[in-house]
Amino acid sequence: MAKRQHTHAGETPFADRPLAAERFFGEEGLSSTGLSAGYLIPVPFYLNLEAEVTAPPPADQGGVFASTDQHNALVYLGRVSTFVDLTDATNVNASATFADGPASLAATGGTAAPGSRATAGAGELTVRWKNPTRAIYRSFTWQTEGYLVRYELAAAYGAPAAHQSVSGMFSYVDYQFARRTHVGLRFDLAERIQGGVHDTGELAFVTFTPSEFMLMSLQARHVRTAEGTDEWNEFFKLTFNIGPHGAHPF
Amino acid sequence: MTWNRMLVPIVLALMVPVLAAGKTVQVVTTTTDLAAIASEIGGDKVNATSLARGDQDFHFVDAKPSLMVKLRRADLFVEIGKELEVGWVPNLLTGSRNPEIQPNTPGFVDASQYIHMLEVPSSVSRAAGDIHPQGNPHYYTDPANGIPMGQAILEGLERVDPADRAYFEGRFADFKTRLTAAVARWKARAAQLGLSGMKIVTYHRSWPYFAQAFGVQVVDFIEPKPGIPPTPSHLVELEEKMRSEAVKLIFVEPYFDPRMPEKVAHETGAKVVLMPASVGGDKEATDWFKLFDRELSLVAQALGKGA
Repeated sequence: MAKRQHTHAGETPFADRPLAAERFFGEEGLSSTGLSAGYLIPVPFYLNLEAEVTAPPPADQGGVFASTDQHNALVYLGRVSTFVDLTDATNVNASATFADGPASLAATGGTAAPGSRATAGAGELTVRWKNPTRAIYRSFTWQTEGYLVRYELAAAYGAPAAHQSVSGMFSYVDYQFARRTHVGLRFDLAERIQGGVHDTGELAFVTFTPSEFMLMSLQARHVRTAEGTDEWNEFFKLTFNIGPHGAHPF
Repeated sequence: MTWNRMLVPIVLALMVPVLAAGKTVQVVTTTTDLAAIASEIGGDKVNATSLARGDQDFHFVDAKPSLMVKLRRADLFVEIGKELEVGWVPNLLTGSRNPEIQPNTPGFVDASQYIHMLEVPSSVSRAAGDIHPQGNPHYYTDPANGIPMGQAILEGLERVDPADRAYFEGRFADFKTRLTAAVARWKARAAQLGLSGMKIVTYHRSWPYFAQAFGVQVVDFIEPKPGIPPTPSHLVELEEKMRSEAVKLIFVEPYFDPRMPEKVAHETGAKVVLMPASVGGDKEATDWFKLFDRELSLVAQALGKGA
């Protein structure tokens, strides 16, 4: 789906996944076996189209799509992304993604009968600032992703066919104020399919990178559920890179 | 007039600028040094642009999608190689979807292919910091390496534009003659400044080729290990070493924060020299020749021996 789903969890600034991303697309993002094609449109700026057809992910992976008994049930995904340099130091990345596939029984709280489908849309906007001359010392990233999922529930169990929609989003800032240190904040919002209620969350992190090959991050997350309960989690994320120098994530 | 007859002149008119543009080889390089040398050899038959700026750390260039767009239109791609750009070039080449400039194609040039590499490690361990298994990739700090770099670029240009072979070879011969004379002049200037045997400290391990070219002795680094930021304990040891070895200069590239080296210089009596390191590293280093003029001028200023 959107940019965050293209990034391996270990490469994100977070120890967890944003609430909405995890709820709608599972812990590992929307990943499955299939075909993917991309086309860089020949215009003076970056404009990329991607199309994918995949098998639905297994039901235990979580997310709005899941495999069913129907052999022809596939997930279809289209994505358009663009990137513009505003200055040498500032740039903007935006993308929109659309996916359609068999709905997950679990994600709908058991209301999805065979033949039910889910359609998901995602939009992403990322603004970055990094002075090239001082690139190793200072940077700032602000990213926001929003999701909208619409379920087409097939008639079953005595219930008529119906539509249901849920939405979610997250937004975070990451500020690098020294060569080795980043701080950041994230805000989460994830709607539940039942009752139209939503959970909210916040994550704060301080990340220390002794070298390019090691990362230590202390993170604290607060989730306020729709029922009004508060849940606190603390994470310690430790990453070692071994082997040859890898590509830098962007 | 039928539609077909009307379309022919329209299509031809649209093709004229494309055909004209086809005469200019689009060269995209990773660094400004390579673009400067490609322009020396390619003259007006080449349009050479660099992905990175000259005042940027070439280890840490972001693989921005806008750079993929630049590469999509390239006829020839030139990199420093030896894993200097390993963190960003592979992503950009793949993202460019340009089959003409991928590794092992005629449009791909590794400018290090004729360079005699220094500091090739006998064993590789991450404990030693960000070391390069194929040798120190900062060979562009030796002005004479402009010739083997140019040789690799010349061969690339001849592969993608064989019709202009004689033109490129003529310009390369002229570049070699001018550079050989300039290197002799720079070495004489370095000797005049007393650089031979002079002990210096550098921020990063970027200057062994410069040191070899001008006889300078690099005794230590601000970074405790390549790519590892300086620690207080390392700086204390470094200051002691600099005092005992009478180190006069600290070379710092424009992309490093000079405050730490300036503090060390203040404690030891050395002078910080903000060396451009690459074409575009400062406003006066505008081509391969002016880069080394500028570097020796900055060293002379730091030593109090004029510009």
